[in-house]
Amino acid sequence: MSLIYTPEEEAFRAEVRTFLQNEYPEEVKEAVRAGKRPNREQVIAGQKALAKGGYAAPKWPVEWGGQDWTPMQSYIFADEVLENDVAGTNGFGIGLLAPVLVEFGTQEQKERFLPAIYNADQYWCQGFSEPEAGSDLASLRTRAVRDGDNYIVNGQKMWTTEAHNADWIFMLVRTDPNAPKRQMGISFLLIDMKTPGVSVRKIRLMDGEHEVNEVFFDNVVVPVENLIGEENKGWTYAKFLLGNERGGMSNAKPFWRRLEVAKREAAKVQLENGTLMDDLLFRARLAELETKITAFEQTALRVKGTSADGAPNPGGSVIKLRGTELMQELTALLIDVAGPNARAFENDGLSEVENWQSATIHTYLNTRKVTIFGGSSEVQRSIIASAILGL
Amino acid sequence: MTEQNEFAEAVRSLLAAHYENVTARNAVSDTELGFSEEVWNALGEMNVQGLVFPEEFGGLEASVEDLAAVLAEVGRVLAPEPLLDAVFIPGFLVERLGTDEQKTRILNPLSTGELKLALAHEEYGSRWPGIRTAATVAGGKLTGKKFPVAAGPSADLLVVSAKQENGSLGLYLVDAKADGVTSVSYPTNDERRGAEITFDGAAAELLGTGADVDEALADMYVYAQILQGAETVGSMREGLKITVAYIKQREQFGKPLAVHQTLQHRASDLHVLNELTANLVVQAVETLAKGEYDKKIASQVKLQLGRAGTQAAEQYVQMHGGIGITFEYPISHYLSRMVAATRTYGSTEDHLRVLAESITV
Repeated sequence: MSLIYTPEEEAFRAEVRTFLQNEYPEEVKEAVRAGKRPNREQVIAGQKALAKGGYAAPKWPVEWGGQDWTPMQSYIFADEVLENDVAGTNGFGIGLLAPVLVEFGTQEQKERFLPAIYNADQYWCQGFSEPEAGSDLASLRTRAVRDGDNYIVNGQKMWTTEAHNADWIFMLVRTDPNAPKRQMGISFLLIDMKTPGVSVRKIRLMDGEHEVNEVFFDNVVVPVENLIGEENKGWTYAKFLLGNERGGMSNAKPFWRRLEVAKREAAKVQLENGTLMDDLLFRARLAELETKITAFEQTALRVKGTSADGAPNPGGSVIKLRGTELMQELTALLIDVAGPNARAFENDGLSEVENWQSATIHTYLNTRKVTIFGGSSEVQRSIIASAILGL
Repeated sequence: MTEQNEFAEAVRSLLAAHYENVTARNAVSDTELGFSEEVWNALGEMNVQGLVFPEEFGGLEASVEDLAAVLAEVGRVLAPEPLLDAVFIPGFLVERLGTDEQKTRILNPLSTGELKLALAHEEYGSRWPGIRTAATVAGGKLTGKKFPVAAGPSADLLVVSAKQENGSLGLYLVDAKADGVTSVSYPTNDERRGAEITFDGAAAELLGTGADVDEALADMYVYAQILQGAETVGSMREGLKITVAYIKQREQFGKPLAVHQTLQHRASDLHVLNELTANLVVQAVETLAKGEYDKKIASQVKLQLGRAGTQAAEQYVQMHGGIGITFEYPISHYLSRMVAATRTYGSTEDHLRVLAESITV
């Protein structure tokens, strides 16, 4: 990508930067700078600020608040988001559910949900996986039985990220257990988490954090108007959504950003002879990573990894597989830059352990999930084998 | 050999009784102390803490191989009791450098579990192998700041490095509760405990005569690196066992995960890594038993564990899928432990650098 910007592009950058510097909440930036996962309140505050400027969902269609930007403008925006320590938005709503609503929802559903998602008035989570339905998602068992104008939902979801914070959940449920193929009896439902019969149990992860949950549904009454598209066609919508989820890893900027942090901090690390940045072994590791990231970035620019025209794209699997591996490799690099200080998993009261150092192992452990969730690396390899290579 | 296995077997039974599952272990590691006093005392009754110390100072005078076998059991169940950090590593220095009077006073209660030590040597801003010591002693008073001090929060007595008045490095005994000692505790990612300890004119007693300290510390690192390897191999092997059992039992697409050849081959590769690593460590422990402290062998152990152990532990989690990243299921703890072990006594990259620099034609 050219590094020479047109005057219009420079003006666009200045406009975005000014907005993010002045209008985005400082408290949220601080959390991002500290390497901490922003909490619900921070995500909402940040997203509301972005929404005011029209920046909450640039990829959406313009009529629902998206931006008709050139690829270069999108690039500049992504750049400024990172430069200014802007937290992610509620991705389950903005990035995953909204494209499904736009493609398959009724006009009434779009009007009811899209503005609320955009303005962070609804905080969403995703109910796909179940205890016995991980990689084999189509074996899901949560039942929805039609009863007049409602569905009665019973069952259990697993690994539901942010369920403890969410107002709404979008779900895959089984509406026809007798369908000739398992994929044919599944529907896509939206459920208000405050509905009686919905309960959440937290799952503690290996980094000690609470972000995923089990969600239980006990005779939960859901109005039929919360069904997306047609009954028993949910698998089609789910594949469309998963295609977007895989392609969502296509931005290499966070990788470059981590590498920059690694270099800057390594220059401060004193070894026996010079700093860590002077060390050829370390530089060789950086060189390998720079090459890998460049190859990834160039591939991501050329492989259209997202779903289009209602169909998933297997190119997203290439991006997801490689992007997640790179992300994990970078988290390991940062532990080594932090050195012995990384051993302090909490740094309260420690005089010389910086927040980012104390966060490196958290991030490494937390990032193990990225090759498991959203279609594991094994699933992505199978998709590449069958859908791309025809094996 | 038989006796060695019997002793390790006894430790195995004891630990199995207390840490039969991850819930029991998590309940212990979630406490402030981070390990079980009950298990510690039971180990002490068996004299496990005195395993390698001389009989005249209350130990069992067993071989380093015996100790390695016991540590493998600790690693196998990820027992949180800090045997290396609170006993064998600082105890190594006391045995090597201490006067007979000091050894009598320290190694006896150490061997029964009544006394816990911690080594306060490393300081902020320096990394193995280039540990710099800014702490000083003047008129029997020690001043300086130490980090990280593994097992610092539970220590009764600290073995602290500081510059002697003659300018050479010395090791000192400082009561953890003495005036002028302040300690800030933290948890490590693998639920152990460490401390930053500040000494502000704390009363310090010289360990031994003050001579041969550099050599003792150099040997201690070799000892620690290799024995930590023995413990970590125990974890690595158990992790594979847990993973193989899991993929046989977990069904997706109507069949156990284990029927997929890609997972069978991956498990086979990890078994090969296990064997290579375990045998490298066995050979390294044998050199220790002969009284050889070979830096190159220790660094090879650290490099091999850093590469093979990390690859294995990451794959154990990956092969489990979602359940693998939860605190409530055992396998995540094996990865967490591997991350910690490969960043202690020099990181994998530090050891690669040392080995690369030492290559000769």
